[in-house]
Amino acid sequence: MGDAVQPLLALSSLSCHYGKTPALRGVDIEVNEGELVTIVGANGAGKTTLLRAISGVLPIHGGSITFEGESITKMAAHHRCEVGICHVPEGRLMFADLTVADNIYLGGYAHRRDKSWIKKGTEWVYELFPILQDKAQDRAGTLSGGQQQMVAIGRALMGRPRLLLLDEPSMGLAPLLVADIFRVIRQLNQEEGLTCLMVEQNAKAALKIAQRGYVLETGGVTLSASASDLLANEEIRKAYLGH
Amino acid sequence: MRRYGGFLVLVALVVLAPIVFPGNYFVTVVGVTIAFNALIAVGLNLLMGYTGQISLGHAAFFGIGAYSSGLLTTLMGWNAWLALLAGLLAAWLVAEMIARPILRLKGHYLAMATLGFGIIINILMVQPTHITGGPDGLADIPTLTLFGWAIDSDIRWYGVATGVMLLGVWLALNLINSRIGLALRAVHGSEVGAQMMGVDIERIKVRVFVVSALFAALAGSLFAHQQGFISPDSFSFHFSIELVVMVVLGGMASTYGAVFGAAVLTLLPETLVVFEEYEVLILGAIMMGIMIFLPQGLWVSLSQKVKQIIASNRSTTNPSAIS
Repeated sequence: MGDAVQPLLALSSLSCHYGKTPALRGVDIEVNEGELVTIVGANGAGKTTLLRAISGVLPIHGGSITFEGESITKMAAHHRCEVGICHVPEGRLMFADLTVADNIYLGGYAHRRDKSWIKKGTEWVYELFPILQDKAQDRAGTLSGGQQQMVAIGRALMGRPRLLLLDEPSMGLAPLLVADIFRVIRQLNQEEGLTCLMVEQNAKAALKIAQRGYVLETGGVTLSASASDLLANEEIRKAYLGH
Repeated sequence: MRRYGGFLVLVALVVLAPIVFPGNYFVTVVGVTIAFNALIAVGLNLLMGYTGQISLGHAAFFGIGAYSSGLLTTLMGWNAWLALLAGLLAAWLVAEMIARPILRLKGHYLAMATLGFGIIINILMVQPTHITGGPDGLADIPTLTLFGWAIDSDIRWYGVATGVMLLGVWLALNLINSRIGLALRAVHGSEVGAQMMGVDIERIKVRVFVVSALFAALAGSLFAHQQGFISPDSFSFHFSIELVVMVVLGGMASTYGAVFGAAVLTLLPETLVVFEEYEVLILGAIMMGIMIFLPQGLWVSLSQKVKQIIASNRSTTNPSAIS
């Protein structure tokens, strides 16, 4: 590679389809170390598919995925979290019958033999979301939507992410909670230097904390720019920012 | 030790039953059947209750254990313990082979595939008449000998069967309380979620399937020696369904529930014989009633009720607690 800085994550002409319906058609996206990048797009544009392809829970049909300079295109999903790709999935996918503590513990499953990390990580998560410590022994399914989202983020952080994938972290949450969640994401990115790739319906809020953004339309990237340029872009404002 | 308090109660029940009711048919004869069924149900519950994967073919593994022991000891003159190990090995190999393709399926499709598997194994017991005795079964299977001590009476079989069952319960409890147990329950909660946490869901599903098959095969080997005679009827589709009912009736994802379910479903037909031709009808009605009024299963629902009563008693005696 001739580039001085190699991107942490690089997707090159990634394509993916459900049956015969294409979901992603040749997507090129790069995420650099320390960045918070957001993907803006309408429902059905392929945003969730994109994140699921990166974490490996969905098979891809073309193109390649490079992480830290190495191809992970053929790597199984459970190995991808070992290298530090951690996913906060759409709809949270809680283990509803398990306690909050068990959910968080399972987030560190890939590092289960590293006892000192499990301890440190758990403390970190409870520090970020003190309410979860009070609810530690409650069944995750009994928590409110906002608290479940905290569990989902905490669970992903236990995987010791080098790259955090966030899929609609604000979905279904009250505005006050949305602000809370975004504040934590911003804090993780800016203070802890955590690289994030975030998909978000609430494009305005997402672009406000992101450095760069991509616009995804019917499975392809149509625009890539800095977050401030996207916020200022007249067409983007009309299409995704609601005015 | 608090975690294993329930286990100690179970041990006490098993030990006290023949002392309190010496020579009682329901303890020393039906009790052995209960122990075998409980062992299989506890194993199947690991797969169904905890991991959320159904199997409508587990009678096949019970049969593989039984026929391995039966055939190797009668036709080949093998040592019974060696035959038992061979039965476990056979069940392991078969489970390992079919688990990978079968467990990719979900829901109804998984149910159909395991159902088909069970029927195929049953046909393999019926068809080669010259080896297995076909539908007439296999007779004259010798009993087991433990350190030169023949297990040849009801009470001795009671000891062996319940001992092995308790061992199985102990193993299951430990597995569930381990990291692997947590991962199994995560697979039940959300397969995609578990994958995202780094759980190799294919491998872990295959492993738990194999473990549950081994539980069934072990019960099968012991069953063959205890009965002295086996026929394909005992390992048919019908028994696979009964096993599933035991797990569901007791309450999914509860090891004690599986034991309880096995006990209830083994005892009920024995006690309902007084109703003669209405026996099956009443059994069916009881099961429907349980599923309608106690949908989480007998054990789980009842133990929750008991906990609630204890909790409400505590809060009334403790003024600082808000009811």
